[in-house]
Amino acid sequence: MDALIGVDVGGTFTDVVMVKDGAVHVTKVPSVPARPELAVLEGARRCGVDGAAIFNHASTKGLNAILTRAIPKIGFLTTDGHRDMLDGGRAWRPWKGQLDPRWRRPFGDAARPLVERYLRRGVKERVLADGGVLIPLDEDQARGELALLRRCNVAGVAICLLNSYANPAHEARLAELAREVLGPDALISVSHRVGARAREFPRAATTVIDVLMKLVYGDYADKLSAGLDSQGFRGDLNFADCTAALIPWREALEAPHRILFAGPAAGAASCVALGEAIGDGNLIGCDVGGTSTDVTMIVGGQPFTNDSFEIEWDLVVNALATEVSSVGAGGGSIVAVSPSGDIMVGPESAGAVPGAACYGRGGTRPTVTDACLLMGILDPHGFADGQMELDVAAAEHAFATLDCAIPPAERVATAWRVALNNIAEEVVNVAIRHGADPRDFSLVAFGAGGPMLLAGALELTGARRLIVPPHPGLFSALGLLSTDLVFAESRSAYHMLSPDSAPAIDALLAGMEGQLRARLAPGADVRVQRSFDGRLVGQSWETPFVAIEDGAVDMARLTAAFHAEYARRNGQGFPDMPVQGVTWRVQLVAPSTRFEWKPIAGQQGAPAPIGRRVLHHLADEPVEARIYERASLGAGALVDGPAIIREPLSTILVIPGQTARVGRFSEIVIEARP
Amino acid sequence: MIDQPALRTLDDAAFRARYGCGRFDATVLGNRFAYILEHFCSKLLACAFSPVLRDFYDFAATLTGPPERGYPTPVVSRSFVAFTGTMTESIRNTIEEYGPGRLEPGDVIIANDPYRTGTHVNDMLFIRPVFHGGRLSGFVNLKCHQLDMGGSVPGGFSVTKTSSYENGLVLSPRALMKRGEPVDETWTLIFDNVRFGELLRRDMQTIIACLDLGERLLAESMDRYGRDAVLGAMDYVCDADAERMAEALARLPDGDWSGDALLDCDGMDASEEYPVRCAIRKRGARIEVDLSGTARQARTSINGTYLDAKTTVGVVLKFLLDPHGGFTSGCYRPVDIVIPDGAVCSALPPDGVVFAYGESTNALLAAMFSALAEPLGTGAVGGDTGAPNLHSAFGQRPDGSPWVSIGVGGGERGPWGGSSAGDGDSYSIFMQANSIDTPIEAAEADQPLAIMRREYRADSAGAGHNRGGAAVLKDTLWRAPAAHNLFTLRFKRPTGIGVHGGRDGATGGVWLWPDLDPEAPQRAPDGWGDAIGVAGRIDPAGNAPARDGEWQYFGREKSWRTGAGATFRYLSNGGGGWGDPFAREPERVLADVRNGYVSIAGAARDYGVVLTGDPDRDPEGLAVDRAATETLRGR
Amino acid sequence: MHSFPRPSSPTVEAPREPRPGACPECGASALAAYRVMSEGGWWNVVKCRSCLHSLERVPGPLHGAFTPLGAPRWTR
Repeated sequence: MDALIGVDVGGTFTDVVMVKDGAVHVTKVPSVPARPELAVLEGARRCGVDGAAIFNHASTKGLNAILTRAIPKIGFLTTDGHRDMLDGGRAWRPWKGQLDPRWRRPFGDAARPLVERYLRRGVKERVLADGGVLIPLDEDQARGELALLRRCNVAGVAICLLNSYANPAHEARLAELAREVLGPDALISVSHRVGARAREFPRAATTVIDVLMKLVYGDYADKLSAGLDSQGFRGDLNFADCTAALIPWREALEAPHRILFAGPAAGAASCVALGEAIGDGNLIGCDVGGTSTDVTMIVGGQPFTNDSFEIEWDLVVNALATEVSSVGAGGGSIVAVSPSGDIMVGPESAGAVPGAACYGRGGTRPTVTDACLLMGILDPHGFADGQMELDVAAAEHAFATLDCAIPPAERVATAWRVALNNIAEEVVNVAIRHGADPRDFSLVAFGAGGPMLLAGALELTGARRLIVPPHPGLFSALGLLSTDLVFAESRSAYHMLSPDSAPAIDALLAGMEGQLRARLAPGADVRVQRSFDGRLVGQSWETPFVAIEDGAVDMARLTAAFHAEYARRNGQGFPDMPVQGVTWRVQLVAPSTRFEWKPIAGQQGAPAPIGRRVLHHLADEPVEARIYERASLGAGALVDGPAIIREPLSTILVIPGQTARVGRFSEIVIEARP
Repeated sequence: MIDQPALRTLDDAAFRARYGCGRFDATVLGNRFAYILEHFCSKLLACAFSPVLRDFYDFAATLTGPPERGYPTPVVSRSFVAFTGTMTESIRNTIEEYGPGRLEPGDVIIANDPYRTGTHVNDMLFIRPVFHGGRLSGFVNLKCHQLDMGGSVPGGFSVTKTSSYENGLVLSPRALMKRGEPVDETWTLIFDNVRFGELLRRDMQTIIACLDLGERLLAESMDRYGRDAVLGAMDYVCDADAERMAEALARLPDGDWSGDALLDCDGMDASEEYPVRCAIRKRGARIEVDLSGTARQARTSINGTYLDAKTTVGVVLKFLLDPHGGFTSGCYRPVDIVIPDGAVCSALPPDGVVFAYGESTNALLAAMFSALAEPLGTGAVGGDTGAPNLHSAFGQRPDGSPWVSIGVGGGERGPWGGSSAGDGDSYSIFMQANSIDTPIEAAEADQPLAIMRREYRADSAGAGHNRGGAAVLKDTLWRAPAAHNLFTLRFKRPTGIGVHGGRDGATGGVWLWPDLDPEAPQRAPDGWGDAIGVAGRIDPAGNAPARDGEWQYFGREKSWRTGAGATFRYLSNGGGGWGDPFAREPERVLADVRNGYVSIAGAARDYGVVLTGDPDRDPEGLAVDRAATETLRGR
Repeated sequence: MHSFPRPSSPTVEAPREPRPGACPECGASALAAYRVMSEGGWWNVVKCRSCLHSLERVPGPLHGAFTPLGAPRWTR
């Protein structure tokens, strides 16, 4: 089979995974924030892309630009009288702002707006909820506003008129006027094309983010494509969306709000693929990074997909996204002392720079990584494939200088346990939110910090076992080789689920399917997946992604499907309440060549440790742990804790009372010893 | 009380002696308490039917310790702030009246009487006692807004009720469930008296399931850590809160300060105003808040009870002194609140009718923000929009079926004040609430209205080094005939009080155009002339809002009946400014003018900044005239 | 009481009863007895008005002035 390559571009590192002839090769290239394609191309060069079939790419470039507001100036056109929708959001505040009189919306005018108010212009027009026109579009007035935006040299324009999801005519005409006034090359995003979903703020925010993504990606993809081409790549370059589904790169950049944030979704996709291989469809993925732990749930082999997500508080993007919950506990989380003298871990993080105190890059505050070093879990000489020396004295000093009455050694032990507790509580909360019991699930440990921390959290979560995949630090990148190409279209249209709505719904679905097929090669081999988001009459929120069977819509079956999905998501339902469909969706799924898990050779003889190290704070007394090289362990190998299993870029911890067994596919399964 | 050694100095032995557990377990358990609430509130939000719960977050959850520990409340949920202070008392009130000796595993005890449990009758309290080893060991509690509790007004929202008997069903403490089984006569009592019984019943079943989960999680924690450790941790969390509050108080200068705010009127007529006063005395780590001098209870349902006053005092002290610490019963330890009986914020039955309890509590918040501004200095915070300005409309569809709109067509959203951290947000909600906004498109899909404008008004924000948020101007076009009920009680005086040298925000009002102008369905933002001035201070000449305009009484019609095509305009109050506006950096004033928050004239008048250019047609061409600015600013 | 007339004066005051004696903490002669709401509910206190030291704190009635008509004997 031709090689497959997956690339996950992060803020600090660009992870590259190549699967060739059944073998997995990984490499980590330091990211180049100013020219991210350079790191990608370097990774490609190391792998050798000549002859590769697939190059699947995920990046946080756009997300980071938006979060840091390193964005160009754009204009926002909306219905006259409503330009402040971008400041108001959904007008509520998070728990940490509950009693904080200084809290303000992060994207509001009082903080850091995406579009300054003077560039948010109102156009004289008004469409009603039923699509009727109350005020016709005043084209002269609109031209005047566009001329002002041109004088202000905006780099792009986002257009979102009220109720355009119900009647896009004014928006379509306004987009034409925008091209006229701003020029044919102007970058424009129009809300009914970005996604004709009801609710003006998320739709407007998504449209703004869409045009910003177009600007931020600029010619990045062209440079990337040209660079790969010059390296001899003749395969398909795809970008991953927020469910880790793949989109051909040119198509992806037509609506790039979809590709904002694929990493965590790729992690979930990787869990699904691993689960399929090992026959376990109930998994809780725990991606422990530097700043946070991302938790995803896989139930019956399926992750949960939501129809929107937030990139910062209340900044909603309407894009299909794998549901991920985040807790501010990671390898770089800072250990601090509360006013009443308690050890706290996170949510503040030391990040990559300065990073942990033991990195020797100027960090003085203790972190979870420093605790792991002082406990003996991390080897000061073998970190990052031997490329970094960790400074034990610096870690000790950082803990010693904490101002609290707890003795220094206890601070390390406490920080460790608090971090584990924070992660475990989030895992339990995610399970409960879905009406699930963690005891029926296996945890999957990945990310930079997962393997060194999660064995300690296993018992706290109640999960039955912990699975550490090979190359856990690049598991998400591997997930980019575990999904399919998806072409999607969705539209809001309020229809009661009753027989007389059936013709309209059939027509709507057929229309979207037709539009999607027109974008593909004739006779392309695709699976059609249709779904809708619906609500119980009287509620104001929707249950997303209820599957619609093939063929003409059968209202009775559709209604039953809704009630079943409602109950699946919420743990209970209201099966006799009437249902209204709100958003309708068609996806064409084209299978992509995927990575396949291959069994490894069996273990010969007993596993041989390569050394020993004393571990502190895992039991009442220090314990001696045996150290193993992961690559030397075959399928069936059994290792008793306490133990450390090393690989070049990760450290796996097995705590006293646990046993680790190497599975068929080289995954390591850690359980409590019976 | 406060004379004990600081918690941070306790070594492990001392900590254990005091709390029955080590520091680590206390930390983990404190965290666990918050997660237990998070878990069963997540379940409530996922399973509840009512949008009032799921979108408005009109509920609160707490854990409480057992009677032997004095019912401490170490944690409250991430939801309706206004409930949380009442729950520190209402659990005790309910259980003591019911009789703790009668409690059994699997019980659910309920109550909803404002004079016993605070807020209003719709907010039902559900309490599950938690037993461990056969001993009563604590409670998990939910207080949830029910859609209806009977009475003369569907849904209950009205400011014209004149006696408690109009409120509908009042439930003294009683068992809803006994030993895990429903108490039939409690359920039938409720459903024989309320509207929307089917919905209430489902949500009540969900609530009980959530309490089951909460109980299980708390009991598991006691299994794992021991009953003494869990109760010790509850004490520790409350003690830590009390210590933080005492230390924050001690950092303020000692002194006596007073503040007042106003409820303009009641729902009967305009003859009586209701001032809310507070006199604050602070000595060291002790504070006393005396509400003497507050107006007597009102003639109609705009009163609150002593528990709501208690909540507001605690919430204000948290906002101003400990905004990042969790809210527990311990925050009241250094605080004594002196509450006269029969005030608008401590009403008594049967004439002190409670429904719109938020009105008096908002006034109390403003009075305290005002009183504490002086000792706080730079820590003072400008006042907010001050009221929910709830608008209810009722009508009939062509097919005869009724429609109802509550909380969409009014001035429900408005600004916060400025602070040392920066300007205030313009589009928020009064500070003691927190809920998700209804999208315009969702409202228009369900109800016969079109929101023609929702936009900030120039020169309405209280000026300051950091200004308040701007007032929100909202025009709602009603496309069907309707009867409209308003209550706007905070327009006579600014609620966005300026602090630390900042200026007050403007006051708002309500206007009505009874007929549609087919040529101009959208009213101009500065066109007021042909409207009826419904509420607020209005200049009789031009009909525009004016600081010294004539105050109009919203309640001169009990219900405002309109035909199709009427437009109601709500203008909220502006947020209060913080700091000397003449110290606001000229570049920021330029940005305000460019962005339409301040006019060119306003820049000169309120900020002493002279700008040249045309903000409407050439926003990037504005410039600061530095010489003229220096002259104007007197430097 | 369970049923209260509306106060006849437009504003209301919380009564304080002056008490003789000096404050043991600060020495001022400014003691008074009154009712407060604090952690733990209603309290009948004797405090020094000058420094706010509490000489006495006795739990007050459960609902303050209000006693439900049908309430059990012990709350009356």
